[in-house]
Amino acid sequence: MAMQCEAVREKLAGFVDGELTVAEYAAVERHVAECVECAAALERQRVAIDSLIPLRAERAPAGLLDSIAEASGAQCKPRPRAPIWRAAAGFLLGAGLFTGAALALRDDATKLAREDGLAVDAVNTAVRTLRSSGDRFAEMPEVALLAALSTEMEGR
Amino acid sequence: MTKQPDNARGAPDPAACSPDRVAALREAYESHGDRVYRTARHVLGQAADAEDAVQDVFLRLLDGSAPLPDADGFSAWMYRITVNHCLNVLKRKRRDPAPAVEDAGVATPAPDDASPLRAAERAEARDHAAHLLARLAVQDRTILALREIEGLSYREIGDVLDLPQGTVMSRLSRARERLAAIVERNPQEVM
Repeated sequence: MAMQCEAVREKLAGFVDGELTVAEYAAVERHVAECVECAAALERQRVAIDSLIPLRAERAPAGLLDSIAEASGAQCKPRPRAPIWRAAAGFLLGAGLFTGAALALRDDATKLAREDGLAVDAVNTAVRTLRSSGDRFAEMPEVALLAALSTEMEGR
Repeated sequence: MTKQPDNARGAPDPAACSPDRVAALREAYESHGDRVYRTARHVLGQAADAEDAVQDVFLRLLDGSAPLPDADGFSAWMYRITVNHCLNVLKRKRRDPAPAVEDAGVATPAPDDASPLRAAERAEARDHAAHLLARLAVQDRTILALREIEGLSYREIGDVLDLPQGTVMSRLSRARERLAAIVERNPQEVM
């Protein structure tokens, strides 16, 4: 049975690209040999293919990988939070705000921890470590402990 | 253009930021960066938007939100997430049909141009082709980019677009017909 023009037009891409069965290919081939309009449509398939060939050599901009690497660094790099509470400890110690300062530092560490997920654990671990390391720290006010910790960290 | 990643303010995922994952990002970019860029550029119709899209696609590799396929399926996976991402971008921007030709962007030169004159001719040919393609609707641009520029088979295109191969063939036939009509109305002037 001869294929109609509309059915042939739907298969012209497959005809050009070798994606038809043998029977389909033969049917389209017979039709375009007899139909001027479908033969012209077949030629337009090739015109369209040829028109896009220059784009096959297109490359991504040279700096794009660097941009992605930079963005991925921002995605992965932890924010530098620890120096904030260390500086706060030194400042508050100097101001003599002993008891209140300890509470404030705890609050700051907790706030930072909510954002950072690391600071509060670091503070608590460091305080526990200092208190268990000897008599000098066992009874020391917390603000002084934090200041000692700050001094210790500054020395590293 | 460097865009801040969507999850940059959240806590980093240690697994996503592992050296292995970052190395995989670089390796994937080296093997697929140009393909993702070309696909994004011609689905979106703009070079600048394509750069953002490429960044988003490759950062998805890093953030661990998408399971990575095996090596055999990686190429199709990259095309699929690229096309889907670009279609979502277009939906958000309500930018279909394609932007005006003046906004289509300038093609990036290939590195193998032997002389300045030859390089200029090739750049002009790429620019002209990109402008022609940008005049089509996004469905036509997408299937033509995957077939004529990226060289995917009908089966691969069907996998990327979730279409049967017969539909790929008929859509491709019609897209080429529409592109040829634009080509005939806009012949390239010889330098």
